[in-house]
Amino acid sequence: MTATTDTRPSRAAAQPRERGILSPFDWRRPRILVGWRAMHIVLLIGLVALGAVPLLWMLRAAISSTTDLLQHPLSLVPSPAKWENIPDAWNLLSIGQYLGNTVVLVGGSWIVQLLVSATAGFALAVIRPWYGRIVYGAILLTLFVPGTVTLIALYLTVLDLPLLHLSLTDTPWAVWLPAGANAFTILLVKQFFEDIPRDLFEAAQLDGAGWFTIFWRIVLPMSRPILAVVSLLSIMTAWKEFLWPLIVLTDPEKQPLAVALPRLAQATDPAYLIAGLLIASIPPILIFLIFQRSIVKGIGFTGLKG
Amino acid sequence: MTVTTDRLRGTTPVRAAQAARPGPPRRRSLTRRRSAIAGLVFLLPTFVVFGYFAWWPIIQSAALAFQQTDLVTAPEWVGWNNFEVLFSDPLLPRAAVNTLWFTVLSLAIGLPVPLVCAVLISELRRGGTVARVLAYLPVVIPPVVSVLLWKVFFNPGESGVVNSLLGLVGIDPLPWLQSPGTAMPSLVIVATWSGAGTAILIYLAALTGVSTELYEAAELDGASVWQRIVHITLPQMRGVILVLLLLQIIGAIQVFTEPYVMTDGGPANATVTILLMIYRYAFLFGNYGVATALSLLLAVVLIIVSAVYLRLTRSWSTR
Amino acid sequence: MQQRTRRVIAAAVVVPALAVMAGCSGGNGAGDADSGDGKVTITVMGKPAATNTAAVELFERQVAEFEAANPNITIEASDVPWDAKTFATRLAGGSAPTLLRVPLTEPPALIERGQVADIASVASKLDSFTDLNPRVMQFLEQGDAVYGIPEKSYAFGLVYNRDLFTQAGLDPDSPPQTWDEVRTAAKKISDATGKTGFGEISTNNSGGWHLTGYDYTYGGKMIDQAADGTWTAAFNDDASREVLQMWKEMRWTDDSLGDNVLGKQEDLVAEFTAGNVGMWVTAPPDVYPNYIAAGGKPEAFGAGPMPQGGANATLAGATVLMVNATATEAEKEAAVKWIDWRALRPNYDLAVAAETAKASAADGLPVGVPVAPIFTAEAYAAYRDAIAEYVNVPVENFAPYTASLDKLEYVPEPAVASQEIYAALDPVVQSVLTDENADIDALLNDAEQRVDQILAQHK
Repeated sequence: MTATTDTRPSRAAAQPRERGILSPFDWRRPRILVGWRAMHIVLLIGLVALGAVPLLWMLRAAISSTTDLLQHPLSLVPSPAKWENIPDAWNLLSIGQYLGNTVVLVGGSWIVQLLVSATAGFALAVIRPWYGRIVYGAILLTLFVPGTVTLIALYLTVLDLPLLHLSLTDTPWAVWLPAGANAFTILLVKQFFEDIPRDLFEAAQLDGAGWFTIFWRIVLPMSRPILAVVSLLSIMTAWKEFLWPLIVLTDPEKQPLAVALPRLAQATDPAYLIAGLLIASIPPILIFLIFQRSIVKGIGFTGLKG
Repeated sequence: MTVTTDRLRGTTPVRAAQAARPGPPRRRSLTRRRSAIAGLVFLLPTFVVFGYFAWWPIIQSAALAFQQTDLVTAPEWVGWNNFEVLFSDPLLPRAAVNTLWFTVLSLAIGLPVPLVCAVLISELRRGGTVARVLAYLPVVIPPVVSVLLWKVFFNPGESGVVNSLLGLVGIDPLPWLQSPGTAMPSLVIVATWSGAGTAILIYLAALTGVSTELYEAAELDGASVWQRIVHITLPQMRGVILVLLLLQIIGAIQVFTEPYVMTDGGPANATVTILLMIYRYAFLFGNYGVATALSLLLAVVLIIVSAVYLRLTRSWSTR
Repeated sequence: MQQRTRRVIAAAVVVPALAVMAGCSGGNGAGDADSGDGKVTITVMGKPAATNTAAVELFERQVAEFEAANPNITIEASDVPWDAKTFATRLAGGSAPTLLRVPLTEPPALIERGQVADIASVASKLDSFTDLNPRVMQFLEQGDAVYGIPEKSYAFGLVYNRDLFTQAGLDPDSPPQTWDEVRTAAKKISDATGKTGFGEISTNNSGGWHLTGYDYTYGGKMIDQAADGTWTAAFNDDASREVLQMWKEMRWTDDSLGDNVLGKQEDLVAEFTAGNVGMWVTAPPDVYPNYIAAGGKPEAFGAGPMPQGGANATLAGATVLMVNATATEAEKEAAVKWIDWRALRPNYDLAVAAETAKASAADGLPVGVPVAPIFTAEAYAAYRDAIAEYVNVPVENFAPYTASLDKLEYVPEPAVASQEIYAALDPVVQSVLTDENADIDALLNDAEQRVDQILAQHK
């Protein structure tokens, strides 16, 4: 396998499918054609109504006045259009600050997850020390303990780190470090690294390369695909996190959007609030639309593996 | 290459010392030790992160459940007291029933709907990408945003968005989040809306993995479309469906964001879930011991559910 | 072990550890600094919400003036208000400010848990300290220790929309005085105008808060203390039943409570300002500034006495200022100085009062809202004289409320576990308001059990 192969292509995914459940012959039969066409039309209407319309409504509501929202709830066009809602919400609600916090938290979590999964995957799959199995077992064990179950203990740990007696609350470390304790990404990376032929490593070692060189010069450059998947997963998960930041970031100045918005919702005009919601949604939606092919592929890939 | 040559130089005295010993065992133990050390270095981030934030909390949970911890006074061991307090709380059975109700409702929609959508989308000859994007858009939006948005949609009275829609087809406005009977279904609608996209994409990936030869063979045998779906597609996808179903059950049991942000457990405790109770015990009442006790109970329930599920579905899984 | 590897491992351990320590807060300092040269920075609660720009400007001017008069003190203000759900966590997590601004329901628990500082030594030096109203101070003093100073006090009353009254054929100058009259008026308003006749709130502990307040007007009380000091629930009686029954009938028979009964205080203020609510129960002087800031018409605001069920009593509370227990001596002094500057002086130093009134009026802020005084009645009368020329509040609209303040008995909120009791009662209120078939007796029984459990933990 070369370093540039796609990760695990499923059997028929690479070429465009000539047929699925229905064959070209099926499509020529009028009953099937009409029936499935109808279902497809219903499906597309449903997807547009449920996928796109709520977002369009959010866009409209963000630039409407609250009275307009009450009087014309279903309209997708604001009358009048109050574009100043958006900068107003940005300033009054300090959206910029919360957005910044979110970016910081997501960025740090991403780096930590990459670091942990890459090094752990390398150690377990390539170096393979004698205790590797035990460590791997201990890591997998955490997959069976859902995060919510250790939530309280984790909070108390963060509040007072054993041995160091530090409190991480109200610092981004409280979110970054636990984000690294993700067994799933380690699993993914390890399995990917295991597919790399060991001759490569043996050859390098014969040349006198140490483990670190092998990691840095051989394995990492080959692992872009899996690191991309890990990155996507970690960024998307981190952006949407709610419960954990809610608990450990009690200082309102440090909170990400997800935690600040419900608090703001209580005291704010609905139109401003929705403007805030809109701003909070734009980055993930943009990233999704830009990277949608890789994301869609990545979801399928991890879904089948997991 | 200085790193490696340094290493080699560093090993020379050791190697010289061991030169007296014969052949392979010497080399094996050397490599073993070297890889053990290198492994430690590379696993250091993992050990720190997992040690502090995964393994220690698991151990600590076991202890916390039997201690009285309130962060103001020193923790003290209280044996089963936390569990006694828990079981005498009239809200616990309510929360359990609510959580069960949520799980059942969300599966009732969350299993068939994405599956049907995925099958339909997989047969789209054009517009497959658009369909996938539309289906996944709600997932991309942060859950808090969806929840707050739907809270606005569910505004009571005639001016709420959903009620206005119902009014278009002549249905009277419903109280949605305002009534104990309709509050939980409202939460299920929101949760499903924001979660279905992932299931759809995963099912789609699984669908493309079904070998087309099977369909061709079935067609030659005269199977109708419906028969092909039932006898080929679904069985071939069984593994994915079963795993996803289990994950959805486990996820539904741990629902928190929707009840917390939309209804805060109301009205009249109709949407209090187990996670919400854990949160309240810890962060509202400051009773971390009871909160952990409830978390442990939850863990036990999840393990039992998973075990039962895997046992029941073992014979049906293709894996 | 090889030299090189050892060094690498050492570096690999030490560097992250250093980074972690550099990035962490070193414990709970309430975010303050106390450098050796006598300069003190304190964080305070109480800054008005960002959307109320005029009030924020006034606040910041006061901060600037204070800092000019006290060059060693820097004030960092936060506009995040006290919230029943999140405050406890903030305090426990160490991110609460030095100066805490909380309702009067909080001090008993905060004092018991040692989370607030004793400021007796500093507070007793204030001129006005001995004049503070004992009704509020009784909750803030224990023996010789003083834990807080009141900023303002309130008593429940009826807030109503004079325009809707007129539209419904009611006299805006004589608001209903009893619950029966309220019920009739509410029905008239909702029938005539289609708006909510009587607004109600029941989430975020406000349901329990209202139930308590209404209960007092029937002569009921929420908790009882036995001779040995233990507390038990005392609300499972006719008084509560009458309140709940009245709600039930107004909601399901009269339909005068409107569609949204699950809001909290802020939601109802918004609805009321928008002209959608006829009457509701709250502290009129507390709500009036928010009403004006949100664009409400002063002439439409009416304040009446707390509707009565036979007992001539009303719930009275306060907003108090306390100092975080983690504050140093210097911080405590600075905090008390700020309390004096911001909260006390405008009430007893007549020159300052007039100045503040003039500035507020110029900014369009309400001046002269009738309040329940935190000092003596004479001091309050003198204060009103001093600001008379700047008053821009239609004081006549408040007349029925102000008249009642002298006649009604002030009943304080439950002495222990208030917020927890309110939280336990919220579902009772929500149930009655959202479920037509709610069983009032069963609900009260369950709530009594729950509250007894809560009280059992308070010795």
